[in-house]
Amino acid sequence: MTPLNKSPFIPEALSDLIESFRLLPSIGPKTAQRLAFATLKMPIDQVKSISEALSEIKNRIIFCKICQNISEEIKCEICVNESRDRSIICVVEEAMDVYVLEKSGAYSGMFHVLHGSLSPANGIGPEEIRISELINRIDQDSFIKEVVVATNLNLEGEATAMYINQLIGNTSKNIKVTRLARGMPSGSDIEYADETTISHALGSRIKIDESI
Amino acid sequence: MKAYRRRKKFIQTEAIALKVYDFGDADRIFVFLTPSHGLIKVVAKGIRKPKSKMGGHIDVLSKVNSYISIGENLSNLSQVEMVENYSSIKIDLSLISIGFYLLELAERFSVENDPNNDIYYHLAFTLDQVRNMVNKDLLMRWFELNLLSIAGFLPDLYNCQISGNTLIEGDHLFSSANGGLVEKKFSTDTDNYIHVDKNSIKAMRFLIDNEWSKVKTSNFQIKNLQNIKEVTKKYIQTITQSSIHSEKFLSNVN
Repeated sequence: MTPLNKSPFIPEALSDLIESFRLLPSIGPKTAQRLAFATLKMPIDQVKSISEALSEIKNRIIFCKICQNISEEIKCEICVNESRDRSIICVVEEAMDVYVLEKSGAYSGMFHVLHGSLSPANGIGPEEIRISELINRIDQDSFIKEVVVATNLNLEGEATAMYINQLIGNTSKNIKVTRLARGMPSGSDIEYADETTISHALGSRIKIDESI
Repeated sequence: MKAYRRRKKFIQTEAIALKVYDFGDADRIFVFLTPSHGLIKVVAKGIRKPKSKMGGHIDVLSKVNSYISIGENLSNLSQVEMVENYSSIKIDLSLISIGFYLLELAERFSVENDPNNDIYYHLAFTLDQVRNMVNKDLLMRWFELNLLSIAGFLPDLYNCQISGNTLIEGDHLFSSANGGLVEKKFSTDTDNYIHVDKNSIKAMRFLIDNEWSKVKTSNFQIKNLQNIKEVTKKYIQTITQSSIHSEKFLSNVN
């Protein structure tokens, strides 16, 4: 069956919009068609507002000079906030992770966003992510005492954490490099846990008094 | 009219996860190397969520028992069970970089839905050795040369690729384009050839002809292994028509 966006009965402008929506993650051909037809039914003001918001995002959003997080200013809100703990940096893969950690309310230090993780097989090496910016920051900032590597808990995230640990170890600074704890997720059943999670959870067990 | 639904085909197979990328909101696509179906791309639905029951059972560089529902475009991973996590490789960055390199090579020489038992077992065997190895360069050269042989690209180290003459003992040139050695007298444009000394040629023949158990107990000079590395790198690049991505990371951390 010919896809709707390729059909000769569909005006070119509409098929272009369908193709554009398809560039977004999680949007398949059907969803793209639905979104395009919904846009067609919208009042012109709403369509203009969406279109402006889309073009503005590229003009207004830049990367914070210090932490590489997305921001509208040269320095992001977190980096200019004097009340935050400047002795600790949490390294995350994506800007989205900053908001997840912030939402938890359990962390009040600084951040560094790598914009990816090492994935040698996909051609993503240390030069493709913002590791050198982190090392420069550590070199120049004498307040930093600890770096928490909060990359994802998969092989690529682990390789990134180990690589960062190696680079920080090569600097003359005495900085503690830590990793997020690994174990059972809240609300889960032990029955369904895998061997890796169980062994990590047992390895990093804590006294009941110390658990939150 | 009664609608008939095509019956889904399920397969159960052992697999090594070679590669992964994010897909959709919470899914991942894994590239599996299997003995019975060659390369297969499978979608692991919801695996990025903390409560996913599959999450801890699978990662790149792990051997799994998988239950796959074969689809027309993409197949779905229905169940997965960890067989080998290679955890002793995963605690060392240098070993991880070797692991990434071996996985990428295996992927480049495998074909989707084309069973190749030998590549699968060669990779699985080599990954087992990475954990215990003493000479990682030797293991990588042995892996590369035997992978080339399994995949049908065994370099000819006995006859001149231009004249067809049997090569006499001595230094020769390696021509990636011709897939083997050529006599030195044919060298007109040295940039396209790699100089291979006689001991490196002997070492390459030995690596191709022998099991790892025999190779690992033999002595090789570092300069010969470097010479072989130069040859395999250029030859693999010529065959795959691109460089091996993980090689840069491998030399970066080792």
